[in-house]
Amino acid sequence: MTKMALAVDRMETPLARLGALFPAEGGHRTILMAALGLLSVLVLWQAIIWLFSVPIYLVPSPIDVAGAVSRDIGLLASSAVPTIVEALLGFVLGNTVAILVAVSFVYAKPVEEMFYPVAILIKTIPIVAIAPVLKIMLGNGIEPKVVVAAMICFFPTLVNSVRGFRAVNPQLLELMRVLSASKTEVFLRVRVQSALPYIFAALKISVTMCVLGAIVGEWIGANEGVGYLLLQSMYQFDTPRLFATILTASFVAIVGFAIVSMVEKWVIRWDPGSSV
Amino acid sequence: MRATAVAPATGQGQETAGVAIGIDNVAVTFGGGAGKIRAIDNATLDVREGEFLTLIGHSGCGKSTLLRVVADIIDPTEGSVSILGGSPAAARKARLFSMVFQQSVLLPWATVLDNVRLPFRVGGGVRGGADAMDPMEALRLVQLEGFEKALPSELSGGMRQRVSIARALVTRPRILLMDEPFGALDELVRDALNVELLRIWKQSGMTIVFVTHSLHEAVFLSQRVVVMSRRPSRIADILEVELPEERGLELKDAPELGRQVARLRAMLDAG
Repeated sequence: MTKMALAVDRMETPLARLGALFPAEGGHRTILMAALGLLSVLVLWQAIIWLFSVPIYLVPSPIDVAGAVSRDIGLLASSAVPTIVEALLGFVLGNTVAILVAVSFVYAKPVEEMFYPVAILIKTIPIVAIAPVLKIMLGNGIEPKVVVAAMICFFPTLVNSVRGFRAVNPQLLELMRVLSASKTEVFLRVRVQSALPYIFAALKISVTMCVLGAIVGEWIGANEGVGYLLLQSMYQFDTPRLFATILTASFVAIVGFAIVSMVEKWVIRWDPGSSV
Repeated sequence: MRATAVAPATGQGQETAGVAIGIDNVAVTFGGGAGKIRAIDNATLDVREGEFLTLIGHSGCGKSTLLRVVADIIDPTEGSVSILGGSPAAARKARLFSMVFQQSVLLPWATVLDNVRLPFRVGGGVRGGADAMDPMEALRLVQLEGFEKALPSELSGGMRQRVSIARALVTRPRILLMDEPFGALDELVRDALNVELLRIWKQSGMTIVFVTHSLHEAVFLSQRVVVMSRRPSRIADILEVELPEERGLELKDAPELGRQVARLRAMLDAG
């Protein structure tokens, strides 16, 4: 008994800490209301399918989708793995480049004046249109998927990082001047921290976008992954599995979002809204 | 009216003993062409070593700008400033002066102790290290012992301003420049900090140049109050404060302080 209690204790401690990263106040109510909303949508959906006798190959009912999830759980999981790898690599690549470019923009005005329009131009090209070009350039492997995911992450992080690196209290810069701080010291001790809330806001957007990027990359040529499974299910008119695959993609994005949010809470322990 | 209290400007090679800051014919102009603004118009002033001097004037009269010229944040368009015989840039690098701003200007992500230590961690640290103060001693001086691990957002406005004063004192500067440091605080906190500042000034023997728009605060703290006029932005007059050396909170409501404030108000209106 004691051993078991100890084991439970050990299990609960990290979980409790994990829980502490989410807002506790009114947290239960938030979750309850969200669950209630979701449940009512599902009930309505099921009712419409039953009432109008919608055939399963057109739109499956929530019960059919749940059945597909439990039946194909292995397939869904194994398809998620390559997509997660592509999305993660794209996330790291896109955001790293974006932050480095942002630093160069902040410290060299001519670089910003020359390349900001280029960045906007890249942003305006629909990612679906550029994917085939990347396939021709980079082949059928993981590379084009990673690049598509990276490109989709790049712009929001670039814009937010530039804003963040500039969002320094001007009096703080005057203080650093009085203290004869070097440019590097100002960057490492003031600008980085001032930019972190902005960068994390962008990371939360791009972590969900990079999953989309990986799926788009898979659509133009892949034999595994969530994007591939979506196309397969569509061609086979297996709509329950199609919906289950969509759920998988959405689940991956939500988990990514939750991880970034937790890292944000862990890194930004101060109140970024307070001006002190 | 102007002349008597103003010592002659210290030119190159002249005797500078006893003068902490020499402001010689300083003018500052912002912008160019039609939008040109003359923020300061030929200001000349000597700040004596060990003196508590306050700059006062209507908003936009250039008092904060003048302080920033002294602090080597802004270059003067004309004229020059000398600090303890050297240039402001040399004084800044040698940490001869510290500055306290209107906001406490703390790093929100750093603890109180790390904020106070900041002058040791940037700009090559402190010259003549033995002179420097232990950060804990600086915190004791502003009565904040026990708060060293707190984050700035966990402190009240008055406590945050105390942290910024501790950060300014930790390098043992010979000159303290203060730009409306208590302007954003409520009156009770401001009064308490005024008394504490006088205590620290007496203990340290520093020269303090203080900017405020509160007439009471100016008279209560200072030995001399420099009145700046607006358009043209000049040093209009200087009030030699005739109050006892020992100044406690009770003086805030004393009639003699009121009389000095009335004199200062007359000078401001004339300027």
